[in-house]
Amino acid sequence: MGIGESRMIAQRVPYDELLRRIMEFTIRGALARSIDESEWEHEELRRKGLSSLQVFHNERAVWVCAKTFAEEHAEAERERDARFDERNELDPTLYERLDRDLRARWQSAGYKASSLIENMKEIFVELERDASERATVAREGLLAEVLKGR
Amino acid sequence: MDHASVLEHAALERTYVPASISWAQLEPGAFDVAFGFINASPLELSYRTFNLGFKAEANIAPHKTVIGIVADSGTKARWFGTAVNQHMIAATHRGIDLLTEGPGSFYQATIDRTALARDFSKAPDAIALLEYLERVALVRDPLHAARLRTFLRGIFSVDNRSCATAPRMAPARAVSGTLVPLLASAVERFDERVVEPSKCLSRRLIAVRKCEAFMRERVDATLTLLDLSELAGMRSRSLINAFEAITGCSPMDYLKRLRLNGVHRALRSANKAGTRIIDVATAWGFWHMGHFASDYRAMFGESPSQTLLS
Repeated sequence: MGIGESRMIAQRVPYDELLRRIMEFTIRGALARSIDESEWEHEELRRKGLSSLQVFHNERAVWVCAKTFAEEHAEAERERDARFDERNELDPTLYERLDRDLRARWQSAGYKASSLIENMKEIFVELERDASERATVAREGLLAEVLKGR
Repeated sequence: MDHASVLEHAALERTYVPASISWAQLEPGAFDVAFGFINASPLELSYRTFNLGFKAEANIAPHKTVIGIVADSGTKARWFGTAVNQHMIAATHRGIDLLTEGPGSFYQATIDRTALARDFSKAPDAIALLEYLERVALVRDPLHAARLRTFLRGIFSVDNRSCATAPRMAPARAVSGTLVPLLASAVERFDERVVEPSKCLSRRLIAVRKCEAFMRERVDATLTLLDLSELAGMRSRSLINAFEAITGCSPMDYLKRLRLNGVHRALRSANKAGTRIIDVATAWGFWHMGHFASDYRAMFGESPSQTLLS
């Protein structure tokens, strides 16, 4: 591996497991952020949402912009670079699918979020608030427990 | 864009000697710049207008001092991290650290202090100017900034937003003979108008500058936010906020733009026949060609292959 900041959050997993891993990474990001320990992969997800995810399918980079893909594909053909087809594929609806299915999962977990494609600030705020409330409850519980013991 | 970049670089080199200039485009789009330049010893005057935000850093020759005047109300710029506008005059004899947000234009007067002392040694205004220019300064003086701007606009004979036409060359002696006293008069009231940056700003600015330098030196290494936080001595969230306030983008975006600029430079100077874009992109840390191609096009207004073939 060379340079490049990125976090592998799932590898060789089916679609359902990918959704679960994205949710897990989101929750971990919000928890880390609530104690100021987030990494910039978390920040990227929070600020840029699903569009920050770099998805590979069968070891091919998945492109979502058909126009860019067509142009680069044409250029690769002009250069007779066969590796382009081996390493890249187009899926313009990838983010929409992920967005629809992830929002359904968040909803079933009690979190309502608008589109996650452009950013995830809304869901991060909710998760951070939850984490803060639970930390408060835990601190008060500890206090009560210690005092009660005396 | 190549042409514009080369011209801009040449103009900057002429203005900031020695040519240690480094600059990076920090906003998506095809960068375009036009400028005018007049050498009127001891003054070198320039006027440039640009369509995108950029960041420039340069060392200045020890005997020279640079004065910057924002040319219009639409220009947003930072000079050593301090926001400047059309009501201010910024000066330095140390180095340039300029960041602009979006399109704009500004004038620049570079003063050769050796020549100034030689040619204007008997002029009290010039001597005062020379003494003043020993210090870095940001003068908040709308009246003098306006006078200087009007004067410079007259020299270049152009309106606020266009300097594509060749400047009308005024006699060098007349320019320096008039402008030097004008600059000096702006300086006369300097002492009571110094704008000192707040300690808070200084701390945030120093932190961001440290991180910027760290990232530039290690642009080919894998960095973490924790690395930067430790370096800056700030909480990561505070650092991100400071970074956004001072540079206009997050640390991650800043690093990505540095690397995109690196790819851009590599492609422009590459041997077209033997270069594959995927290899260059990968060497700069871009693993996903879909993201890379989109980011590159958004940044430079053309595809990587167009850059390579241009």
